[in-house]
Amino acid sequence: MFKKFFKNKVTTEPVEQKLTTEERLALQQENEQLNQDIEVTEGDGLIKKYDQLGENYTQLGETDSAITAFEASLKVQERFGAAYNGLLNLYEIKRKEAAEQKNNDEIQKWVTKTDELLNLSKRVMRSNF
Amino acid sequence: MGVIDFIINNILTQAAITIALIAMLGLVLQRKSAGSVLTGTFKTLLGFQVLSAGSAIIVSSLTYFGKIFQHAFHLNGVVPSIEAINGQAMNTLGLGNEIAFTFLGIFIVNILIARFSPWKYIFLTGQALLWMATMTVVGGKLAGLSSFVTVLLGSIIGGIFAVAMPAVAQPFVRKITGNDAIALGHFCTIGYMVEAGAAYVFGEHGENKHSVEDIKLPKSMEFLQDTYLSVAVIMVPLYMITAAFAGPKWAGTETTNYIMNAFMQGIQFVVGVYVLLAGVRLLLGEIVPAFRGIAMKLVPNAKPALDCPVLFPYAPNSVILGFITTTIGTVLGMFLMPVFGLAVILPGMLTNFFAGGTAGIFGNVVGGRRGAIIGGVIHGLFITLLPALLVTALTGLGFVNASATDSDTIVAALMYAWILAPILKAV
Repeated sequence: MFKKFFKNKVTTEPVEQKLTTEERLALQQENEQLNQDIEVTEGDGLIKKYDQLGENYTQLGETDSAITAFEASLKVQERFGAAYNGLLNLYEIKRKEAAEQKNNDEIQKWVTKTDELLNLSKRVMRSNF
Repeated sequence: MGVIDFIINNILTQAAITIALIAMLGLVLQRKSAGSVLTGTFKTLLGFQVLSAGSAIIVSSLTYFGKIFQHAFHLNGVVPSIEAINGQAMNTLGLGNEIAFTFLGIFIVNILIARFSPWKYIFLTGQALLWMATMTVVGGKLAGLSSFVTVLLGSIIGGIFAVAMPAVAQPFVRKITGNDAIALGHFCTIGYMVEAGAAYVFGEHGENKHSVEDIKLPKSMEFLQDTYLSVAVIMVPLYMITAAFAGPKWAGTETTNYIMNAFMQGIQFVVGVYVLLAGVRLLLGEIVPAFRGIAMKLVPNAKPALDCPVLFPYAPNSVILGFITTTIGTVLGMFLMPVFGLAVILPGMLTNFFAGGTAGIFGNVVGGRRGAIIGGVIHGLFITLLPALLVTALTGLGFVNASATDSDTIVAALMYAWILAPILKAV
């Protein structure tokens, strides 16, 4: 029934981009600048900078730093967007790593963080009404 | 021998003890400290008792509502509330033990399927698993099965649903989220498929497809910001209007005005839901983390099936539209069901918000604005029809004035009533 609808397949896994050395360097430089800007920025601008930082770290494969940046973004203001979407995938990556290491405390930590993200989703959704 | 008899007859027959022991098993398997095992077990025990207290409050309020509705409209007015069904099944009907074991069984079957099949979904929404355990046990009782077979079959059917429903929704979830990292674990999936199907047939396609996300919706429903307030906003007026039709003889007491009495009874219903859900949270607070830790270790490449708010951020406008259109469908359904000789199913605000909202996301992704609107109304009618079909069977078992919500759990129970029971009768 949904043949036509599923005709255009979506990416099934988060895209892992292979960066060239120049691209990596450029992203790292941009991050340095962003980290400096964050010290002096407020409000919406600050959220955008944290989100950009999180996305850059994700591209660089620096999962922990990406999580810190996205979490900082949501701390400024709970909202839907890059930080929520990024964290949902990054928590899952960390949860999988913990599961492969059979580390129960870490599994619980990341699943609980995902739960908190769902609660945030409910809160933001309700505040939209 | 006397000691064993005492344990079997007095301790293990207590559902609160059974479920506390299951939590204890989970905590011990995780090698938690003695202190953590003790507190976790005690909290679970406490959770069950709080749930029972909530259930008693709901039953008392629903009994009153059933009486005044009957006298006001000469019809059977039923409140769709899976919480009320779970509370009554666990306590009044004495099915707590079977539900506790089935809950554990569903976990085990889910892990087994995920471990040994290509479907790696692990269902992480504990509350939904409890509702599924409840409805499969209710189904077992409807089919007249023994307790052992009820638990065994419920575990298998519930376990299959726990994998199959996220799998069915996954192609849509991929479209919504843009990747395959997480799945949807919410037992309203058959309803979502109905909305998606309706949106496909009646919705917009190709270049004509316009997303709901491109429109600006007004902010005018602040009452929905609080779960219990949103229940109260519907239930309290419903009680009061019904009381006005029933009159003082049936709706009042000797000392209290009948409208005031109805108001307080409506509030009591909200309080019951509040207490019951607090009990459920306490009850599952230890069991779910314990078992999901075990599940994740046994199936490291599992795909976690998460509760429906996981999708809200991808299409917030669709959630609002889904809630509104589903509510319209449930109100239409309320008037339509008696025409077909079925019970009056009152609109349930919690399910309209969570199931309706999520269904709206499916409707929008398949059929754009038109798909979400028409699909939402059809979804509302569908989730009113399902509990209406179940009412007679539930009343026969002794449930008071309530029917289930969550389409997958109702379909599971109807499978017992419509397929299994006739086969067993024929054999």
